[in-house]
Amino acid sequence: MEENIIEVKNLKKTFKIKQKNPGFFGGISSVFSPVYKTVNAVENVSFSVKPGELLAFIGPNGAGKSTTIKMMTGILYPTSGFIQVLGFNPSRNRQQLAYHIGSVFGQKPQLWFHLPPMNTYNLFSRIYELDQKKFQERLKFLVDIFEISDLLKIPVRKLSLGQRMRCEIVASLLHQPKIIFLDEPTIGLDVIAKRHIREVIKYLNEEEKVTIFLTSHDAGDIETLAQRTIVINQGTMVFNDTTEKLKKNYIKTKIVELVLEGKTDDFHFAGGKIVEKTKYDLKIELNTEKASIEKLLNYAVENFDIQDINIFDPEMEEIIAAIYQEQK
Amino acid sequence: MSMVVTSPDFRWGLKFFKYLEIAKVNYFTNTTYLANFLSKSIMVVLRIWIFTQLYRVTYATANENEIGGLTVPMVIWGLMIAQSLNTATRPQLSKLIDEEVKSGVIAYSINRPYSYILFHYFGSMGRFVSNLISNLTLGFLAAFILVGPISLSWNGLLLGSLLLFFGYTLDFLIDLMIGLISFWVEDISAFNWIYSKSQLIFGGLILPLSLFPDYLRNIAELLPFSQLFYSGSRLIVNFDFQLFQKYLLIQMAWLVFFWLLVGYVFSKGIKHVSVNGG
Repeated sequence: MEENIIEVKNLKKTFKIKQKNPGFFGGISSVFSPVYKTVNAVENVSFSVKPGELLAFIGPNGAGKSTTIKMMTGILYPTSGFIQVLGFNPSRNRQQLAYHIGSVFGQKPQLWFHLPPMNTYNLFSRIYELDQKKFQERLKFLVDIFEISDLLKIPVRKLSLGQRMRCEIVASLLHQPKIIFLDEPTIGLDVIAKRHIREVIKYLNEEEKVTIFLTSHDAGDIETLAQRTIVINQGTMVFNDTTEKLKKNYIKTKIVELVLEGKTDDFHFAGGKIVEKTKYDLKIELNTEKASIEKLLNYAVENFDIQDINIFDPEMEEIIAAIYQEQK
Repeated sequence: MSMVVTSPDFRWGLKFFKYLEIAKVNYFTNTTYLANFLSKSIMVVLRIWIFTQLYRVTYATANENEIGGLTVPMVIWGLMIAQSLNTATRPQLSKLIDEEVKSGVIAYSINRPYSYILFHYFGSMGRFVSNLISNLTLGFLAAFILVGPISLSWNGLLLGSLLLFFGYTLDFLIDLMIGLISFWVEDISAFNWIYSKSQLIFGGLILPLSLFPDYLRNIAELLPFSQLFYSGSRLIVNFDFQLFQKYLLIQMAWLVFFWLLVGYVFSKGIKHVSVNGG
C-alpha cells in the first residue's frame, strides 16, 4: 500500500482576536482593559493525501482552508494536533520542507513588484540552490506550458491579474516540488485565464505526478480538476469523498443567466426555476439531473433573441447547506 | 528527479550565492525609481548645508577654532558620513516587516529555504549599498564645496570603516527587533519613533558627542545609538586609538546583546505569527 504523503490528525488552530469598541474612548479602554475573542479557525480536522493525488480543499470564506494550508507549510503553528508532510513536521522542519513543496497564495504576491518576473525566477533558483543548467531547462519548460515568454521582461506591476497569476505559479514550480499547495489560484480571474490555469494544473498532476492540494471557493475548479474533495466549514470537516460523489449528490444545479432582446414575461421553461427576473434579464436555476443546459438554450434560441448568456455554478454556501441537510 | 543540488561541498557555495542574490535583487529594486532614490541623497546635502551654517555661527560665537578636539570642517565631514549612512538604512526594515505582516506576504517570506534573519540582513545590505553610493557621492561633493578638504589617516579610514560596518549591523539588529514586535502588536510606529528620535539625540546625527558636556558624553557613548554611525565617523575625521578600543568594546557588547535578543524574540515570535487576510 502506498504511504501517505500528507498526514493530518485532530488538527486545531485557535486565534485570539482583540476586540475594539468604536470611537476614542473605545480605543483607550481597549488599551487598559483589552478584551479578546477566541476564534476556532480549525477544529479537529483529520485527513491524509496519497502521492500524485489532486485534492480539492473547499469551503466558503473564513472556513479555515488557508489556515490549514499555512499549518501544513509550516507558516502557522497548530494549537494542537499532528501534521506530517513528506515525513517532516512542518513547524519544526520548515526550511527543509520548503525545498520540496511549492505554494501559491492567490491573494498575495511573491514576485518582486517593481522587477520583471525573470529577476524573481533567478533569485528563486539561488534560494532553492538549483543547478543552473537544470534551472534553465525547467524554466523553458514552464514558460512554454504557461505561455509567458512575452512577460518575462515586463515589470510585474504592469502585468494583468491573469498574467501575474501565471507568472506566480511558475515561480512556485521552478524547484520541481513534490507537493504544490494552491490557495485560491483562480480568484478574480476571467473565464479564459481560469481555464488556462486549470489545464496546466491538470497537466502537472497527470504528466509530472505532482501532488496538488488545491483550495478554492469556486465549484468549477473542483468539478474540472479534483479526484477527491474535502469540504470544510467553520473549521470543521463536513465532507471527504470523491468529487464524483460530491457532484452527484450536492452540485445538482447550475444558474443560467439570459439577457434577452424582448421582454422576459413570455419565458416559460419547464425544466428550470426562474430565480431572478427583470425586464430583459432572467436567472434560471437548472436541475442538471432533470434538464440539460442544451435544452434550455435551444428553447431560448428558438423563442427569443438573445443578447448575452452566462452560466454559474451554485454558491459554495448552497453546497454546504445541501451537505448539512443530508447529514441531518 | 530532484533539481536541488545535494553535494555537501557545493551546497555551502550555493548558500552564499543565495544571500548574494537576495542582496542583488534588493539593490536593483531600490534603484527602480531614480527620483525617489536620489531624494534621500538630496536631503543629506540639504542637512549638511544647514549644519555648516549652524556650526560656523556656534564656533564663531564661542570664539573657538576647536571644540572637543573637532574643528568645524571635521564636524561637517563627520556629520556628512553619519547622515549618509543613517539615511541609507531607509526605508526602515521594521516598517517593511510590519508591512509584510499586515499584508500577509510574510506567508511567502517566512516559508523559503533560508534563514529569515539572514534574508533580511542581506536584503537590507542591498538597499543600503545602493543608497550609500549616492549619499556619499553627493555628500562628499557638498562637504568639499562647503568646508573644503580635511586630512585623514589610513588608520582612521580603515578602523573607522570597520566600526561603521559593525554599526550598520547593530542598526540592523535593533531595527529587526522592532520589526519582530509586529508579530505581537498591531502597530509598531511608536517603537520606531522612539528609536529614530533616540538616534537623533544620542546618535551624533545632529550634534557630535564630542561637543556634549563630559558627563552626558560618557553616558551617551555607552548607549547603542552612538555606536551605530557616530563612533565610526568620529574616528574617520579624527582618529584616536584609545577611543577606537573603547568604542569597539561597547559596540561588541551591544552586538552580542541584540544578537541574542533577536534570536530569542524570533524563536518566540515565529510561533505567534498570524497571517492576515486568510
